[in-house]
Amino acid sequence: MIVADNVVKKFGRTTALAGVSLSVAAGERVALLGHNGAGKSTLMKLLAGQLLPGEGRVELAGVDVSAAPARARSVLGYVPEEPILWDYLTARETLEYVVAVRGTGDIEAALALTGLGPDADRLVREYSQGMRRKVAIAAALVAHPPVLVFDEALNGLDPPSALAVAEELARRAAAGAAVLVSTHVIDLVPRIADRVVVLRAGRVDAELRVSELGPEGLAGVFRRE
Amino acid sequence: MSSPGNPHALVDFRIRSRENPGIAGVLWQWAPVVAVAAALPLVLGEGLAGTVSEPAAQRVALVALFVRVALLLAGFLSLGTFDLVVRGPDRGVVDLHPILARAYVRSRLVAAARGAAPALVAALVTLLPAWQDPALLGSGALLLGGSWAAGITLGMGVNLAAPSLAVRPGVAPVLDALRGPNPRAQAALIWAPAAALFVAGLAILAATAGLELAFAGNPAGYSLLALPWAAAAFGARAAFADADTLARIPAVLGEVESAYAAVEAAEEGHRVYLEWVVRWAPAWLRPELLRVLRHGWRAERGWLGASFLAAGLAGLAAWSDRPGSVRGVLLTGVLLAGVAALGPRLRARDPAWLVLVLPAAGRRLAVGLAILAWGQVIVFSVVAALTVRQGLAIGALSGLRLELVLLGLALAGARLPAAGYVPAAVLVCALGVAW
Repeated sequence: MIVADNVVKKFGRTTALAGVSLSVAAGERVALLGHNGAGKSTLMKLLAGQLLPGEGRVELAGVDVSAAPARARSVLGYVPEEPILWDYLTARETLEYVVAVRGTGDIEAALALTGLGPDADRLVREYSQGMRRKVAIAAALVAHPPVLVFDEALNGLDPPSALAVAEELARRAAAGAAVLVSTHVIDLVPRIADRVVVLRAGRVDAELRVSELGPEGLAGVFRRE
Repeated sequence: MSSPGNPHALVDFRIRSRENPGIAGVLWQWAPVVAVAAALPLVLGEGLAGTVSEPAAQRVALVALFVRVALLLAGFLSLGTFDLVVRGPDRGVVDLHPILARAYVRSRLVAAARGAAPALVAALVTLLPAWQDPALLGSGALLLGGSWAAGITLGMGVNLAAPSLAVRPGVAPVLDALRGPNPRAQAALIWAPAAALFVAGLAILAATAGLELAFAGNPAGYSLLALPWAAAAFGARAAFADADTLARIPAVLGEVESAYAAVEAAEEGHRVYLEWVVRWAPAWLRPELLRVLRHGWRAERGWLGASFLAAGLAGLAAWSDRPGSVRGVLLTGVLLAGVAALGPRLRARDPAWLVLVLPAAGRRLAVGLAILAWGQVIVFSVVAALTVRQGLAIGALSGLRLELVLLGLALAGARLPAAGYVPAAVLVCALGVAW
């Protein structure tokens, strides 16, 4: 469902991605980890059609993101690292917009999932950072797209909300969605992923199943240099 | 009322009904009308001088005024639609989801027309001197109205076509030839408004030629007044035809921004324009002044680059043997006001923590001094031109006068928000002209 095939991305003389290949099958949840500057956000932006690959190919549900960006958007639910929202809309109105342009969606379920129900009719400009992030997550989930890409989306959420979102991602994967989540919160990884891909200096440095992690857990992956 | 069937228009409607721009915001929106009404007598005073008793000559002078206003309008609006449709503030939301392309373009066209309504009224104010000449009044209204519509729709059409062109391999050699130091993709975006102005300009000039023909006794010339409207219709058609390019915009902008970030990263640590002036500032002010100069140059390089162009323009306007050209002084004042507008722009971007932590007096003083430094290139250009053409005494006196105008503008730019700065700048320029 999610395919990055030998993707190279350079910014001037800086190589952000040096031939990254990654795939996430339908029903699979993958956590993308790595140091700051490892290339996680660049890869996420390429998947979301916010950048063009220098070399290689990026596909979502069989749609080439560079060649058919409009079609690619319709299969993707994306939460960027720094979500931008309309300050003068309420959370409910924001979701109404998303449902209108996507042609489907359950607004009440998305509000309940993210715990925004009681505040759904307040303007987004009155929200805290965490609540704004919840709106972005609800917007990505509301129409049940088959591909979910979350860039540091769980950072800043209160623990119950982060767990609720993690559980929802598991349900979506069980229903056939492909889920890719980048995060620095390694304690959450066993709850949000079946598999872990570690980027280092623009390359895939390690790839392992969560069930195969040793007693040190993910800390061991980052300790070795 | 927006159509509930168009989610993009519904969002626009909801936001507009809740945003409260306040009196200052409304004043800011309608400032062009006030500025044109204030400037019109000055411009006409010179333009119609000697033609008062000759109606035909008055017609020629007024048509010349209308064509300039029409071109200005088309240029301004073709630039404005770029901000609306390519770099609009809502793109961060819109770009994450499918776009109902034609509905989005329709809502943007309506938003552009609404936002540009004050510009149309300001342009129509220039028709007032023709109120006793119905043929001129009607023709002028058609010309200006058509130019307004063409500026919006051609701007929208061409700006929407640009992102697709930016990534088309066949166009790469042309873009490389045009891009200068900019990333390739940016070349298409930079030149798009110019292409819109070119098409609108051809239509406007042809319509003007038709008008002159009609006034010379050939009524068929009036038919050419339809050309700006035809260009507007063509622009609207192109905008809807390009609608599917909307999904490409974030990738193109992402490429442009990352390319600039790479260039800027390489430039970090380099000295910036006028950085050397800090050596004359008191020691306690130097860090803040240095910050403003660096921030100004790196964040507003295009604006400061335009000040060199403005200096050339002001120098050309001052290159005259005629003493006391009102138009020249007014033009220089407006250009200086443009430089001083950097004050509110830069202060609006200061992070909240900075405003809390640093003493306001030092910050404002530094912004004011930076404006004074940045404006000198325009003052120097005018003084040099006047000194050569009219002698040292006139040059020095004009220089003193312009320095005082610049000082007033710097004080306003350093202290006032954008909405307050505009009327203050108009006042300072008016005082400068009156003196």
